[in-house]
Amino acid sequence: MSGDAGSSEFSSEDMKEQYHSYILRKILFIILCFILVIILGGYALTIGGREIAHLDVYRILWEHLNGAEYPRGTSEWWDDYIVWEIRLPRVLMAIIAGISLSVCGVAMQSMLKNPLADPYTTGMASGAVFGAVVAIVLGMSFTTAMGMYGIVGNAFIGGLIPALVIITISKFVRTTPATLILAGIALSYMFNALKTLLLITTNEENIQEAYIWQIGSVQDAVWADIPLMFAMTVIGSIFLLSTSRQLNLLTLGDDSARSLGLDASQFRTVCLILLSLMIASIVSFTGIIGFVGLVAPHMVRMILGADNRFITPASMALGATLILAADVVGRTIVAPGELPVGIIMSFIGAPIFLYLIIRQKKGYGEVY
Amino acid sequence: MEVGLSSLKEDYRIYILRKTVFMIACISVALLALGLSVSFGKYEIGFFESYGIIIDHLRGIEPADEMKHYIVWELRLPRAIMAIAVGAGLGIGGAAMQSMLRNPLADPYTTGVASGASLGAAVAIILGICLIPSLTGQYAIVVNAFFFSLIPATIIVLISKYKKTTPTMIILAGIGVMYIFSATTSLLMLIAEPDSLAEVYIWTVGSLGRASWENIPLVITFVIIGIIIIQTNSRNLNILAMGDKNAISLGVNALRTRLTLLVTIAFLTAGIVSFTGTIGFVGLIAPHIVRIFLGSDNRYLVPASAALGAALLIVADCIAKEAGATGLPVGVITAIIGGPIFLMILLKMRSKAWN
Amino acid sequence: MATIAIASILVVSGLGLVLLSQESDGYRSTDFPERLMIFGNANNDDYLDEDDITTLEKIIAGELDAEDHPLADANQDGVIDQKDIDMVRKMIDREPMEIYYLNAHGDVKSVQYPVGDVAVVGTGIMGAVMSIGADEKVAARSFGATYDRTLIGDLYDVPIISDSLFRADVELVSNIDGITAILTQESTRYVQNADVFENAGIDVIRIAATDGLDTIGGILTLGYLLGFEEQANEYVRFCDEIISYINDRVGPDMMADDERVTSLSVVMINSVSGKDSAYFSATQIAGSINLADWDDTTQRFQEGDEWLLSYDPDFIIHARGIGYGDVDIQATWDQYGQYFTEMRAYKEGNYHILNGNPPVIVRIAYIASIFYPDIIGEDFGDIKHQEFLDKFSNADNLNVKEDVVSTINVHMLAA
Repeated sequence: MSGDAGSSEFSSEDMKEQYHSYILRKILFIILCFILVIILGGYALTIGGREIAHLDVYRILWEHLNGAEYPRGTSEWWDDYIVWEIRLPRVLMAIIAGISLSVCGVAMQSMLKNPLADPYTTGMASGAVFGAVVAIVLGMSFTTAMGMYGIVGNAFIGGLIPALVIITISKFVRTTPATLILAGIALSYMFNALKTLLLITTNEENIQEAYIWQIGSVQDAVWADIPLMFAMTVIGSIFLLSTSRQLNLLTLGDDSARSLGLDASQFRTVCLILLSLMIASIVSFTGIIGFVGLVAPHMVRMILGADNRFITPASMALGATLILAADVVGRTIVAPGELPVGIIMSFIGAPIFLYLIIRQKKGYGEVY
Repeated sequence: MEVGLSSLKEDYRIYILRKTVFMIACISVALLALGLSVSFGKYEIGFFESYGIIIDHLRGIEPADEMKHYIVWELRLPRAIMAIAVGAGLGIGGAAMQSMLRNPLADPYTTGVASGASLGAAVAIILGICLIPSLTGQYAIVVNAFFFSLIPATIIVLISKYKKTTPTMIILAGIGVMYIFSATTSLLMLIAEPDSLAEVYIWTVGSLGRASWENIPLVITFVIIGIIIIQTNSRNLNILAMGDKNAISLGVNALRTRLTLLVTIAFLTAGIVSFTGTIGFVGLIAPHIVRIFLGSDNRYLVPASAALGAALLIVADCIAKEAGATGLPVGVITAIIGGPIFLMILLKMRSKAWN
Repeated sequence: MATIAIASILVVSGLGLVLLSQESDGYRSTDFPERLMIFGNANNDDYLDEDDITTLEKIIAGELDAEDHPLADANQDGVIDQKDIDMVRKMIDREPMEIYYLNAHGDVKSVQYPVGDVAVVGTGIMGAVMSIGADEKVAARSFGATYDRTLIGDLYDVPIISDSLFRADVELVSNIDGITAILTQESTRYVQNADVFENAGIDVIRIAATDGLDTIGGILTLGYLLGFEEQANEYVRFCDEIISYINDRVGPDMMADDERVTSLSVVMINSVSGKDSAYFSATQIAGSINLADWDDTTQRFQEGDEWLLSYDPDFIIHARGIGYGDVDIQATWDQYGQYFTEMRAYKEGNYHILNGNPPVIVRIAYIASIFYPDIIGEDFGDIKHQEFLDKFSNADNLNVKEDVVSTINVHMLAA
């Protein structure tokens, strides 16, 4: 009812309106991000060594979905094969990886109260890759379903080690963000050295092969890779989206959270297991793609503030956009070759990381 | 009164005694390992034989067995000396970094020195480009590694000068620069020939195998200068640990001290890394272990870390020389052993030693 | 008048003699079984012909054991019967049809015969295709600086369908009409995305092209698949002659072990070949005793390492892809010899850098001539290399002794 507050400038109606438009703006931004993903994804589908006109790509997709078939070996058949079997899985893998890694970043930053935490900087990605390498060296391979689950399962265990370490030290010691990252770096270094050792001793000559394998890339993505990644990402994203409020509570501190009804330790543990699963399922297929989980949430926070209910979906979309953009750039710079997504992301993410640090006006929890 | 004073004196004496005993223990272990390491290696040389060879050489007697003489005198002895020097340098660098930045996870590579050196080596090996154009081969790699490793440190020093930086920011800036250099190195490695790629990889892992009578004097010079500068600043380090504002009130210019130490450690580490690649965890762990026994007084922490670092590295190298079928680079051993120890340290970290 | 008549008779008879000598040369390789890996080659020799039908009949009649003839089941239906004979008859007529072969991994694969245009992935297999003169079949190749233009000539200029030596990009391959197969080498490193091609109806053919004596069988099989059998058989003859020449002089029964030289071989920068490597067997074939006693393909000998110093070979052969262009001999020597300066072989001038670009067989010839210059002949390697360049490569008027650096050793360096 207008005029209730008497002489106050802002009636409750106005406040409600302002609040609604505030929310609306955020939701609009999120929707915009998702539209951006679709546009960029659509564009990424048109890039490749085979000349297929932009509009034709979409027409082919549409007709394929409608069950069109072509005689094998004809030009149309090839167009269809390339778009559907080669490009589409690649674009999907990029999107899924972007969503997963950013969502993990958002969650970790809340869980650890550390703006610099993400799957890469905390060493989880390196641990997961090491786990995958152990599985491969033991003879498991992606060609069988059991092999694939074995590799991803091992990656999961590998990623848990850094996760546990990070959680433990952030609980017991009041750590600055720097400490956490340093721990992550030391862990990465350790896992990398162990992985190198494994690879050198089992496959003397194939250092190059091993090196290329673990560089983040969406090249050679096939449909068989997608279901597991997709399932884990969907599960994880839904969980984290629906627990955004709890994630918000975590940033207040464990005691405050408990007084508001949240068992912080338990929640953290569950999140951690989920995050590890997500990271393992991505990294086993793509290799190490760094910085997405760091950059996307930061950019989103600059516009949307710190509420996880908005940050999570927006980061998912922005993360997907980032990796798609990296893929597009990587394919265009050295066309028809490809610069792996992981390398492009590190060239984008590292300077942004540095910039974020330098421009920080107050310190990161410094005690003077 | 009397009782209180004498028990205080007693406590103090025990305190000093512990420190001295620890230092002596570290140095003894280092010397012992130095002596033993001369007899370690894949080539079969008898235990006493190896000492015989050294003694004969010093007395100017012609070697009976050319090959054995070569191995003991040209390979093992320089390598052992290098291990001592490098271990001491890394240990002291780690102690200084941790105290100066007030962070238990800092180590000599925190300023990005390792990533700079790797990039320098990669440029030399993969692109064949050296900063001094006439050099090739191992010389090119060393020169490149040295100068490139100073770039991250320079960037950080510049940032420190123009912007008010806290220790945390220094660490994070170092990490940021490290990421950038890593990305560039990754790119280079991607386009490299398989041979060059393998060479870069192996160089990066960290090895003492490149030690020779030619390069030992250089390394020792760097290490000794580094030790001297850091040791003379050890009181300042103690004061820095109390916080920048407190330091100023005690007459210590925190920024200047920090910059001096940064530059010193950068040069010290650069001088080491150019020859050995990245040997990890020694600089990280040695100070922690010392702290357990000696506390955080930098006047003792610093030299003891040097001694323990030396001991740790030479023991690790003895293991490295015998591991596997052909021996392994020492960087792998320090990662395998140091990694779990590091994890244990992380998990057991209590605030006590720090606040 | 008379002189013209006599001249023309002489010319004609001369021509006739030449032609006759070609035909009645009648060379058949007989001593080397199990090289032509085509199913239907029932008698395991180098040819698919009537003899195979005879063998099949005998197997069906029970006179011969099917187990001794693993390539007899031409249609891969599990039984040896009349259908196999019918199929082999069609194969003898070289009819277009689906046939089965054993690839470099020992897998049974099917392929449409004759194979149409191919995309070549790998320098070794490119060399193999060139050796049998099947240039016209090469429609594309993978990217790579290691393809040697001097050696492969026009093949260097075919369209490129990848950004890496080991890969073929599906999209780029689809741009080129008529590619029916990807042709590549035995290592699993090559064409890791084989499934994508197979699903698209493009066969991925893996032929042994780099590994010692297996390459001979590989080239035979390749020649059959591409329809260049005669040339393949000629090349195989060239290889067999080299092997026989060496075997007759320093083969397993020709020398006592203590008369043999000892050796070690090195590849890449400092990877010393172990028992599992192709170079190990190459040095054995060349008549030496290779001292490597480790099972891995290679083991690195880094700066500061000691382990290799316990071995004392007479010779060290270091294979490097020097190429057919200009070579800085001193720089190459310094760069690759630096790890081995303490070995006796090096000090005695018996460390040799061997150009890895000629085919394996030619390298074996060089190695043998290095080990036993008096028995084999110092020039044996050069002679065979020249023969290879003249008859089996696209190199234009290349003189081995003047234009090519085939080996480097200390005697070649400026004093």
